[in-house]
Amino acid sequence: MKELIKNAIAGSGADFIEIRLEDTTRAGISFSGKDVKKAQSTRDYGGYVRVLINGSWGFTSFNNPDYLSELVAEAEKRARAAGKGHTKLADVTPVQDEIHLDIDQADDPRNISLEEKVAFFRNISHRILDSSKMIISSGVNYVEEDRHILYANSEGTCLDMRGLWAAGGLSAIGRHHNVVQSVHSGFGTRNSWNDIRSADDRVDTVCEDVIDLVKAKPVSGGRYTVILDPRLSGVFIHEAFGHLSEADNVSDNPKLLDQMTLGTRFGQDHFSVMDGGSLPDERGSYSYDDEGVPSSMNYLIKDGLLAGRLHTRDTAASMGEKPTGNARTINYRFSPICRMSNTFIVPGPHSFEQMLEGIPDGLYVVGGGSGNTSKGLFTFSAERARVIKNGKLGGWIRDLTLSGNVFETLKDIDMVGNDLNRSRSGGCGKSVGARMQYPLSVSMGSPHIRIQNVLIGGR
Amino acid sequence: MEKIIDLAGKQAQKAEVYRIEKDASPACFLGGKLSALEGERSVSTGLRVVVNGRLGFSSTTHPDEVEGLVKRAVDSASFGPEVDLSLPTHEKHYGQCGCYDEKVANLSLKDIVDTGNEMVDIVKTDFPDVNIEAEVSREIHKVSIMNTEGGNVSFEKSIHQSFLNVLLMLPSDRAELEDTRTTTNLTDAPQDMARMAVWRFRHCKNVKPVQTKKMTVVFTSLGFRGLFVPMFYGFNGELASKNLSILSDKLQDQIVDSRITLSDDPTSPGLPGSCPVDDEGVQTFRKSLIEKGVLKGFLYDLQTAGKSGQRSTGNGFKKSSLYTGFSIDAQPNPWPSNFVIAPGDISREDMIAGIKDGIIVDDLMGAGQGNNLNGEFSMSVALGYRVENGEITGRVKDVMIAGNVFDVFQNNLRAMSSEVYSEDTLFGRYTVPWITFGNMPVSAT
Repeated sequence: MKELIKNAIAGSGADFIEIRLEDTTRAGISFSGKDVKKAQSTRDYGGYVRVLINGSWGFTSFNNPDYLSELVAEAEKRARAAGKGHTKLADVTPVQDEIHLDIDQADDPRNISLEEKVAFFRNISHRILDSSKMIISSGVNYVEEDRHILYANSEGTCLDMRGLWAAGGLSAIGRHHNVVQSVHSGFGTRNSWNDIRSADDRVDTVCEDVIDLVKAKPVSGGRYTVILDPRLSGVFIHEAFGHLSEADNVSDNPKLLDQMTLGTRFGQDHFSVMDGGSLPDERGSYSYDDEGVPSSMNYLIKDGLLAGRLHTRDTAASMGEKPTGNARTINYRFSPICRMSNTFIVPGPHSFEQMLEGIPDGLYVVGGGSGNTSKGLFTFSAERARVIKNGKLGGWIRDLTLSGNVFETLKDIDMVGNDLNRSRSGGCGKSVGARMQYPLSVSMGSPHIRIQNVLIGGR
Repeated sequence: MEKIIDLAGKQAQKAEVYRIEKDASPACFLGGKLSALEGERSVSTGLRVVVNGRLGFSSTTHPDEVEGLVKRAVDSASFGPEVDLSLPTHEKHYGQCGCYDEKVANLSLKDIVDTGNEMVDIVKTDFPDVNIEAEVSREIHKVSIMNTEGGNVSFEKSIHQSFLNVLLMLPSDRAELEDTRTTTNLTDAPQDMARMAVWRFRHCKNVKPVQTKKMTVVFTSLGFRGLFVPMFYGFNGELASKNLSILSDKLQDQIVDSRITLSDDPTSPGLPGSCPVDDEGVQTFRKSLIEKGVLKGFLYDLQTAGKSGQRSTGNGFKKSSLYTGFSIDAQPNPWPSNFVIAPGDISREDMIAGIKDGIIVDDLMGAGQGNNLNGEFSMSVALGYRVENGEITGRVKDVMIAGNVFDVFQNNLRAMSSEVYSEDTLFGRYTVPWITFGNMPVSAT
């Protein structure tokens, strides 16, 4: 197959051409209450040809590589029809590399039989459901993805990469009178069934939390000093700031770019944010991005100042910055775009107790729901919160959303905890045009953080 | 497909093959300029089998894979759910039916690019400084579904889709609009969407303050996105049968204002979710969900129908979650096709003219993030306008709205426009009038 790709590249007259071929098998198991909802195993096979001619892209996605030279011709035809464009690519050193999976056989999730996996997750789902009369439903889902990618381009880069992702979540839905609430907990691994087995330890907590939550009071909206737990804080930095760091969101927009000039103050001195795919074995880790650029680790905010952003080769060239290895696609149906990898708030000096001290009237907000951003404005839902009165934690509160303007909110982060924690499951969605690319494997990480003056919405 | 059915039929009591061939060509515009012409040519196959009463599933996009596909599906059936699937038995080849328009199929690359440029020009004429991202796409889908019970159906569908993201940067502020129009026939929806964007931004030149209080709130068709998700969750047959829907046990009850008639209508020509059969080959039809305020039914696919002693309503669509669209590796779940609210009796202009003190909610952040099972919504208004004494007087900012969708449709409904608009969102497709609610809590932030 590598020869087929190389020949097709050699036969193309494009200024730049890259070909990706991908073969992914995916096993999925989910339970809803006592019933298995699905057990399935699917295969996604296909690729794309992307060419650059006179500064314009042409792209063809396909399932059948037998006619690769025709597909190349089709992509070239599209690029030519697009006329003269302004795309240039940042220089990178061509690489040839093979990335193998290095996993202990006995602990390889792929070697655990479907039977054992189903039994394991069934047991979890049953335990949640049986734990209380107030719990009306439970859910467990698990997806295991084994991906093989061949990538080559006309500059001589040639990669053969294997990657494994396994992740899932468990949830409990509780009801008390008319209040229905759910609590979720995620788990995941890049290489170890033992990591997945740790899901077992979360059952009791999830059940206790949902029972607290259905009895909780709805929040009264307003502005609060809040402490975010690492899970929610990770979602916050990902949604509110991370997406804004994606260079394709700003590169064609001079006015927004103006607000995103490197060196601009974004937070207080103790506040730093990083992103990078080069961390070992995290959910958003990879050796090379989907343009064959080596992953790296970069400050997005350093000591309060804007320090970097996430690039494809295209955006790096157009903005005169260094490529960062953040060109990613969820699969062969889409061109790579600027995406996050492992994004996190760099831990600081503060303990949770220090953060609580001196809050007369605040909220400890826990657990991330989904989020939404629009060029600096953000809103996302939290799972639940606890009241803080005079530095002490009080009762539970439900149904909250947080929203604001990220440029203001980041500056209001006055304490950063010392307890960094990264997500091991979940994914990131980003739309290009009308098409949503979801879910992409990323991790969101943070310690506890304290923010002044956050807008909390509720009923 | 025959090969797969034959092989699967030997190992399973029932088998069903779903195949979709897609030919798509989107043109992408960044910064108002054509940036890429893309294309997808794909063939994807899904296989469901029932072995010993249990459901197995697999899919493949490999062009030649037969044995592997069948093996994975059969293997997974050992652990799958117990099902009672009454697979359809009719044979019909709908061909280029009501959801196919030759004019869409015949669009050239140049036609698509021209349409995109037209949209950009319409917006730029009034707002030369905005940043525009746009996409125009033409897609042809050929769908075939075949099963071991004699069912054998196929149809072709054409899709004309346009997308617009416009960002207006003001001195200390920005306004962003994102809109998608999808039709199965060739219409001037793209140009109309661009003209609508101009209408929207004309009201963004100044910001009008809003105080926290109860007031009149208009949801445009775009703004309805925030009500759509908590609303359709109520009609999910699976949730209803498990007593998880807020509408469980309320069949034939008056659940909302008697002016509301809501249907799921996959038969309406041109609407994006229209199709002669669903993704399980079940013939689709228009069904009332609410008639004059009374709850009439829920949406079922084959599996949930079998479980709850109902018939499929032809709403089995291969979409696995709120945040994903159609996917070959998703199994069918009950989703709306085209969610349609019947129009009211007042024009949009008269509707606005009758409002003394209120806001228009046009685009939202946080749609779908409330407690959907409870019918609750809680969102911030990303794009909205102040209405004072019958006139739109400016943009509103930093406003949140929250409530329960069934409560507000019961207690707060004031008016619905006689015009209806179709929106194609990530969550699903719907056609609705602009809707006015009175006395709704609005919190200024």
